Amino acid sequence: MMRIKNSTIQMLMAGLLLLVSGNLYAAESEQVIEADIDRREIQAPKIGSQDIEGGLFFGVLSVENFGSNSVVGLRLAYHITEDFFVETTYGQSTVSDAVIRDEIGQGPFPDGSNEQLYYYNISGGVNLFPGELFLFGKWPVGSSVYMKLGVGTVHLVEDRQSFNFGFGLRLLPLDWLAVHIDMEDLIFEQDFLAGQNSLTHNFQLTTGVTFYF
Amino acid sequence: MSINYLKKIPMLVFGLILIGGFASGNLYADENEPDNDPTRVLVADPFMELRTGPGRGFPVFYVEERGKWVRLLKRKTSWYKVELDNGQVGWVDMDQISKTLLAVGLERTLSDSVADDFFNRKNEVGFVWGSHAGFSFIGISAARKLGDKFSLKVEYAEVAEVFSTSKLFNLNLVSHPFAEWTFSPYFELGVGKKIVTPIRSQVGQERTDTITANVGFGLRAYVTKNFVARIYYRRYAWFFDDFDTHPIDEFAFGAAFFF
Repeated sequence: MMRIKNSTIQMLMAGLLLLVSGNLYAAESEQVIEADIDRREIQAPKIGSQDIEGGLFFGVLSVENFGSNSVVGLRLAYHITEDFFVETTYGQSTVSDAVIRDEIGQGPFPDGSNEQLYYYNISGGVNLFPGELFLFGKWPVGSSVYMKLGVGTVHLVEDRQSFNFGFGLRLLPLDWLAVHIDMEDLIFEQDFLAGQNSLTHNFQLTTGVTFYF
Repeated sequence: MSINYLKKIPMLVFGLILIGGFASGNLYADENEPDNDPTRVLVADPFMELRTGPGRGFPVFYVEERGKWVRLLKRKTSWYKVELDNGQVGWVDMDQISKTLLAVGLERTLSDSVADDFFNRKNEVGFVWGSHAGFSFIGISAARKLGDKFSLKVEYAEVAEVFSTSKLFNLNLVSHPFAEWTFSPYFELGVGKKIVTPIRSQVGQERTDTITANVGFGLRAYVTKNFVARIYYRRYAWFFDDFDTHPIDEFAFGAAFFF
């Protein structure tokens, strides 16, 4: 029979006290006399904003010890300012241990030689060289080189914490359309071969299309 | 047959004239409309520089002066896409047309109005990264404001431990007694679930599933526009426990957006 822990109850009571007392103190410091000011009523026009960018990417992911395979994924970014953005991505690929299996007769993957790899991460990014490119010498296209750094989870047989670091080029042929070329290093620990954890660098080269909305 | 067609010609012509009349009427109405169009604004700043794109790196290709009408089409971060009466379309930085925007209630560069806007927002989406019992974790959260001082938050986090991975689900009540401060302390209290899954090499270990309670405090810093950064400390305890497990400490920092 499980019992409710007294220490937990005490902790919760303390928390509740904190929650309530903070607000009581704040309430005291509020203004007593309400200023009576006639404010001009302005109806601000509704101007649509396009700070969110979402889309797809595909390319090649090279997984250390296991070779390269195609990768596809989704990308969603929010542009905080002209210079900074945050981005979340999801990608998936298939990893094969067939080469090792052929060599030593037994592979490190527990269920067959093919394993699904998927990852998701959250990154902060900075736009480095915003400007305009002239494609084929005549078509002006908005562009920017960006750098990003993030954390996430990689699933290959089991979940692993990951770090990601990358550079990319974003071309803007239209206001609402962007084409990306990205190079990223996905860093996570593996214990498949040595039997102990070792940090691996897994490079990914992708291209993608995103839409601003 | 052909005679029947011929008979219809005057009708057809009349119809075309009628449609044309309506069309030109609409055209005429359109020309007069913009004065009632709230997106049409009078340039109140000394001048307005139009760039080819929404950023400092794009070249200026046109300058419009004070007293002219422009139409605001859309916004990308701090850049407005505008259309001039002569048909030129370009991007202008909101800092440069602050007076123009203020006149129509769109000023967002004054910190007060930005803050007003910010504190009136109801929904928050954020992410955190930190240490849970000494192991690094990442999480996402969504919150909704309840009145001025409180919000209700749901969270999901994943912890990468050495011999297991854990998933945390939390439902927290957050109190912001000084919500209007730039650096505002907050307190939180919540219940949740922690699911621990042993990794493959841990033979014989089983998945555990416990109900948790948590108490925490943190500091939220208003960075820009609708963006906040935060740092917090939190302590988790088990609600039901036969083994007298020690409480778990969590430190994290994160970022969130309001909309």
